[in-house]
Amino acid sequence: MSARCPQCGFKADLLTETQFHTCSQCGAGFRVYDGLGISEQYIRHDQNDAFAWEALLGVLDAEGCRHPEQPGDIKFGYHPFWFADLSDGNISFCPASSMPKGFPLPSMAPVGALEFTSKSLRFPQASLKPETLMTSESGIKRLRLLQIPLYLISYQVASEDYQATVSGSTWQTYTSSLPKETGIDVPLQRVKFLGVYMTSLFLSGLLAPNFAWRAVAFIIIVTIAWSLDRSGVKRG
Amino acid sequence: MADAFVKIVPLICGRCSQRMTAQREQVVYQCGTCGSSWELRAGLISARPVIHLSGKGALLLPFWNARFQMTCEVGNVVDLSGFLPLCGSVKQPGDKGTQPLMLNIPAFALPPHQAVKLARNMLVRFPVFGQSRAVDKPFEAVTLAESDIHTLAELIVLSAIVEKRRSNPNFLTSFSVQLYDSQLVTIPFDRDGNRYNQVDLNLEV
Amino acid sequence: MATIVFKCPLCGAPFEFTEGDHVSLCQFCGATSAIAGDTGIPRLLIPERIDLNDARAALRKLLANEGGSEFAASFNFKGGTLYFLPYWRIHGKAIGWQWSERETYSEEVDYDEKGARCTRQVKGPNERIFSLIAKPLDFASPAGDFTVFGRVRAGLAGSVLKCEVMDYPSAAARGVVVDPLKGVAQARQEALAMSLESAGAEGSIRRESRVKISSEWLSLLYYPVWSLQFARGDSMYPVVVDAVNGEVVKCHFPLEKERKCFLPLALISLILLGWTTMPVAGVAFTLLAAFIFKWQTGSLEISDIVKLLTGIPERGAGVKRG
Repeated sequence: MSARCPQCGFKADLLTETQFHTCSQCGAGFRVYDGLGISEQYIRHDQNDAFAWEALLGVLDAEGCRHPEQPGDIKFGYHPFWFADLSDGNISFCPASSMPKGFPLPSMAPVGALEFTSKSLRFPQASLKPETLMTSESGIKRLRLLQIPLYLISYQVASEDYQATVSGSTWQTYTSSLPKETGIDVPLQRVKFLGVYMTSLFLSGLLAPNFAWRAVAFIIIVTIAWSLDRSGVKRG
Repeated sequence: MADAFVKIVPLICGRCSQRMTAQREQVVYQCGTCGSSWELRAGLISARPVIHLSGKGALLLPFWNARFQMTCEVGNVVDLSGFLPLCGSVKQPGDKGTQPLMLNIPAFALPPHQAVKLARNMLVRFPVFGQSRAVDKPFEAVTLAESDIHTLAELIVLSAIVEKRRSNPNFLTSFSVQLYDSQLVTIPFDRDGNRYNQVDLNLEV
Repeated sequence: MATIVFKCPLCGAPFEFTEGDHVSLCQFCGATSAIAGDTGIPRLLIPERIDLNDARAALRKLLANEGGSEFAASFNFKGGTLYFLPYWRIHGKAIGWQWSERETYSEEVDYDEKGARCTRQVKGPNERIFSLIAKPLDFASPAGDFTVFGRVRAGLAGSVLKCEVMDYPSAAARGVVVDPLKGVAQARQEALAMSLESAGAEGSIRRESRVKISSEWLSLLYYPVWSLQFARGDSMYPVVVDAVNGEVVKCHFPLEKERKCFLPLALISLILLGWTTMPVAGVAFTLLAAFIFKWQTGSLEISDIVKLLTGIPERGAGVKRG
């Protein structure tokens, strides 16, 4: 089998059937898919699930959406994408492996510093072929496999399931659908407070012998309730 | 990271090893000491021969001179007898009919529109110059690089073909110009305030 | 046009030249040198002028100015990274031609059977316009999808600020040097499309053009931006700060206004005061309360009444950029 080095174009006879090769001419490491030499690059990233979750909550908050009651299920991993420089000067970007259903995908490669992969690093393999995905009429000038760190988050709001993808390089969040706008969640504490307040007003109103007494009693109750409210009773 | 660098090349004359001076946008450099001309080719200072054409005038203006052929709807146009009818000219080329087509593109600093106008006028008047005997005379700074003359050449030839270019878009899309044997020449002009005059050609810039 | 600083090959002093120049003079030794840019694409960098603390301070200032100091204090700083974003800079001349065909109409005055005057539009011959295009081109285009960073004005800054030659190890030690993913061919197409757009051929039914870039000076310019993260509660908010001028380019901090707590309590007591006195007073005081509610909040919707009673904070536009 022979393949061309994606860095220097040197055509090398490959003696082994392994996927990883080193160019004898320029020393660049590259992978071979279907006889095609491809450079594989990745965006370095240290996993931080808490950050990804907070990034998603920030987006929900900014969009005025309801927050999930419980933390979502977060799966971190590198996902391979094909990135092609086409001969007409345009570029093409598409997933190189099938993603779990429902998760939105970045439409363009996330911003980051790309590093070449090496034998010692283990990344998922491409399971989708680039030829079937590139529908462009112009040919592929240079093909790369980009390994992109992504957090796939599934969460529930009002017992409905939602999915979001957070890019590990810039914490950019991709969502296909968002939970509806914040509903009115009345805190129980507040209901109790209002209940006690109204009952005391009602009782004192009935018990007061005349309008003047009633008004005085009401002013006292309102003042007490207001000072309690300001001191934070409603927040528990 | 496939890095590529800008190279800073000191301007030192290849003949007499003296420092040369140049203006910001200059692409051909003249040695103030020995008068030779140089340019940057593949990052190296290389000689650029300059031909001085004879005529009346004290100021030498540089032009890129090149033979050209034109391809369009009607086929290849290679000489004046084919080109003049396209320009709508009633002038008879006479014995000049088989003369190759010549372009003189201003290589000195001139707004693009004026450069096109001047070159167009020179194209339709098909001047014939003699070569001057004088060598290495100082001339105006060259700011147009040889690699950029082709784009301008198409525009100049088109500007001469008035009728066709306006009425027929197919003519435009099939139109192209090929340049041959480009060389740097200087043509003497007279300076009159902000204007340049060429008496022999009845030209003014 | 950017001023670029290299080293003079003869004396080693800083050697400055302007983008697009072919020749420049060393200010120190007076030697003239030529600039050969055709050996490759120069990578230039605008150094960051503000550090992480300045970037944080810029955001805090914005939050305090637009949302108040209490609002600004409710956000905690979580971290920040410097990014160098690559932009294609194309400098040269757009040279070519444009041909367009446009329909023309003229108004003709006519009289109908009853002798009433009327005007009608008559189609004239198509107008064909040929124009020569020859104009300077100064264009910057992001070499990737930087929407996550908002509108960074790198092109403008690249025209006025001093650039340095990209020293990759030094830049990579300070921040993330983003790799260009968009090719220069695309940037060139954009630059030419822009030059055609400004050449004007509005309303044309057919258009042909051929424009090329002449005297091209191409470079990849890296522009610094700070990407910061701020948190409130368990939500994180990304912020982008221009690392050259300290401008907050992108952020969105929703504002939650605390509801007034006296108003609902007072209105409830007013209504109950009426109803515990006599039904007529009840109706009158309820109407009065509704009037005060409308006057204070501008609405009489059930959801607003419930929100006011339950003290759910009101959402405002907050502080938003980009």
